[in-house]
Amino acid sequence: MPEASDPSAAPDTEELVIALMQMLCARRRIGMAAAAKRLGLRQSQMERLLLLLCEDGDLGGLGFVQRHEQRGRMLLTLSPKGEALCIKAQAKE
Amino acid sequence: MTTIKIHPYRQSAGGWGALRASLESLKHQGILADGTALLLKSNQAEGFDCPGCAWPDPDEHSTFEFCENGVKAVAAEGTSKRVTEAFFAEHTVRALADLSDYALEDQGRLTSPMAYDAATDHYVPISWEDAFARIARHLHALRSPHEALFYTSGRTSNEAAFLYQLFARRFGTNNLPDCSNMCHEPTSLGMPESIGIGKGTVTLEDFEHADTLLLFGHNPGTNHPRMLGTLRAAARRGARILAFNPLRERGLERFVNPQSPAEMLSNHGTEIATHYYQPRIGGDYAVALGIARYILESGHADERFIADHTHGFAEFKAQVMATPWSDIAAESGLRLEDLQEIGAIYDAGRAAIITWGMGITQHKHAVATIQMLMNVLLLKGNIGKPGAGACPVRGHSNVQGDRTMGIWERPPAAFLDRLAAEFHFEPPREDGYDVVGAIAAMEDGRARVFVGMGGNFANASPDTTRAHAALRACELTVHVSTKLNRSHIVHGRDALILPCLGRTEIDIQDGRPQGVTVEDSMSMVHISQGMRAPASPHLKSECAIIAGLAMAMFPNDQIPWRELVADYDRIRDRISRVVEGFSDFNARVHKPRGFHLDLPPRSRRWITATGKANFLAQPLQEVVAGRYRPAVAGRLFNLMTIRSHDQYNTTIYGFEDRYRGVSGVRNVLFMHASDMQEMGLAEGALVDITSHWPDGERAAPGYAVVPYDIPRGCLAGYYPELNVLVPLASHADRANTPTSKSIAVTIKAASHA
Repeated sequence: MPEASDPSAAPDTEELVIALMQMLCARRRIGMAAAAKRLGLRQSQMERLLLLLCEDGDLGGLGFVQRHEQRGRMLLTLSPKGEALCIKAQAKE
Repeated sequence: MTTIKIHPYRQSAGGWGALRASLESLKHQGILADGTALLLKSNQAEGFDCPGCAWPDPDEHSTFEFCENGVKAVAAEGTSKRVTEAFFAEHTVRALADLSDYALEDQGRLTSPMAYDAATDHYVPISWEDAFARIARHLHALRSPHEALFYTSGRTSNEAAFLYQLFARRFGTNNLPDCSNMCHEPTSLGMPESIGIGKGTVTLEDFEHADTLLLFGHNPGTNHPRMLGTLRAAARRGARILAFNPLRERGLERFVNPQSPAEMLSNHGTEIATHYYQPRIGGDYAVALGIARYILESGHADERFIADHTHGFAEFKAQVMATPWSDIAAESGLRLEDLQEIGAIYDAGRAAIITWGMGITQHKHAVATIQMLMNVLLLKGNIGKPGAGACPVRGHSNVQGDRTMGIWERPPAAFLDRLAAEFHFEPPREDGYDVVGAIAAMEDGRARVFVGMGGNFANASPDTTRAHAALRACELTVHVSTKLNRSHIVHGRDALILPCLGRTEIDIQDGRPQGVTVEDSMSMVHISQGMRAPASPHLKSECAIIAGLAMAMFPNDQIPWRELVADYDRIRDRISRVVEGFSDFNARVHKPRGFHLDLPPRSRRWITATGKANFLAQPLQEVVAGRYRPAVAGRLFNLMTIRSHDQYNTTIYGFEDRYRGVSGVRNVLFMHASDMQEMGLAEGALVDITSHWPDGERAAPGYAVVPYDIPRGCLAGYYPELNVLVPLASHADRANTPTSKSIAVTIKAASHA
């Protein structure tokens, strides 16, 4: 018999995307470790989320977020596309 | 052991999930970079028509006139993967038969014509000329032209469809089965008897003026996602939107527009349906009857409209009023108070649109249901005024246009008269085979050659086992295709695969790029111009393939096939003289956005036998009595086939049915939790499904049950896999559309769990 997965309360990827984007819209930059902690994600899970939200050559990605290394610390900021999204969202429709 | 991931979806339709899936699709097809550029040309005035659904494009286009499933369709066509001659040399057809339908299409684009070689069980290369000559040889050898079948899929352009029907009729047959036979045939049959036309009467602009929308039996979130933008706008204006669907479908509930930054970042989508009703499968006739009864009882029918524009009202009223509410409620599966609420909302509306899809058409009583929906519109004068009318939601992008161009096994005499006058030959006058008739004819040898213009007949057809046997019984099967599919594997004794250009690709004829035209669900006709280099230099356009075949069949013919295909404007000139409503076709279609066909009911002109719109109704008792209720051991369920979110018609893009929370598998059966409990079935338990029909039982073994919000006694599972359960003889009255939404089945614990 196949095994049905547990419909646990773990957040959907979409919920995580929205939470991170809201964080960045509010603060414009945040340390990757701090963001992962606030989202309740392990580093590998955070990497997967960023794979979707950043834009990375052959791997693609939505291109709303950028990563920067600063003195050995990984920082997340909004890309110009992400900035535009936040500005429009804050201005409402 | 298989792990089924069932994770109820809490998000809105659209939103980040749609962006993510779109991105994954482009990555999977290896066209991440140029795929995005290609998509920006989708559904634009200077671009190509999305080869996905038939939902119309707005007058004011945004830069992004595509949806998640449009991305999947465009990405699948624009894929970097190729099926080469070497691929066929490497794999026998027997070996290919072991691949899943997903894996077959996922091999990529076909690149050169191939012919089946029985001695080696391989497809081997063949030149275009030899392929045409081989088809011509088979066709000439037939005892009668009626032994040939010319099937059409709804992606085929107007120009190709026109040439194709011309070819079939020049050969001498009306055997033009098409995918319409399996979807909206009851619409094409029922509406003309009611209001004089077999097409929707509304435009997109009407949705801006409607204050009441009744959505019956379709799932826009998956099958025509761009409609969600239209519904979102209506919802935000405060229109009342009533959704009728046995299943809870997320796309009918909440939608985040990926183009709305506020929605994207707030996690709050727009509520689509203000009211969601879950009739039991096939209960829509009774729902519509209930609305009619409410209006009649309320005394709020539009008496002026009825007097001026309709026929048969008195008989209709008597019949409706003689139907007890208790019977209506029982048959609909809704509570009496729900039916009263629906009636009251419809009654209060100033302008209403009724939309419907295959949840209405794939039932035995489909024609009756569509005519009851027309009655509901007529009662309130909701046809021929802004914001009101009928809106059948078609599937494939040009399925409506193909029928307009004459892809019809029962062509009107007037059309044949004009065809005869234009091309100076006498076309056949007897009706041809539709899909059901075609399968039966192939089975018993009345049809021996099958030509498929696009599509995947082997998988799209009902009664899979019989349909496959029928194709295998043919002397020749020919498929004009862009990608490998099951119909190439389930073939006749002789078989050809003819690879064609996709709609996104540049079509050069006589040194000049050509555009083709399509007609959307709302009768807008516009041009589609390919923008991308063809997947292979050996591809031909569908028009060129038909012309090549015609020249091999009819050397020195009076029809100038070569001349026609050298410039598609010449085909359109011919269409303008044969097809009603297409006068001055070239001038009109070359304008930005094209033109809208004249639809008489929009101006309250009724091209019917009575000269008026007709109230037509079948007694509810007859509808109930006509349903097949076999006496079987065990509990009988009613099964409907549905599409997953990761597929378009027979094409499977992947295994994510995101909105229903199912991931990784397709052998699932959606079932009410109480029914599962009553049957002693745990979530994920495997069952064997058996359908029942007087000619015997049909089986689909090994399906995992998934608890879902669906009425008790109803089941749902994926098309096309469950076509195997649809008896060929179980079809809509008069329209012959397979009853894929209403299959009598029993289930039991799987014998090989």
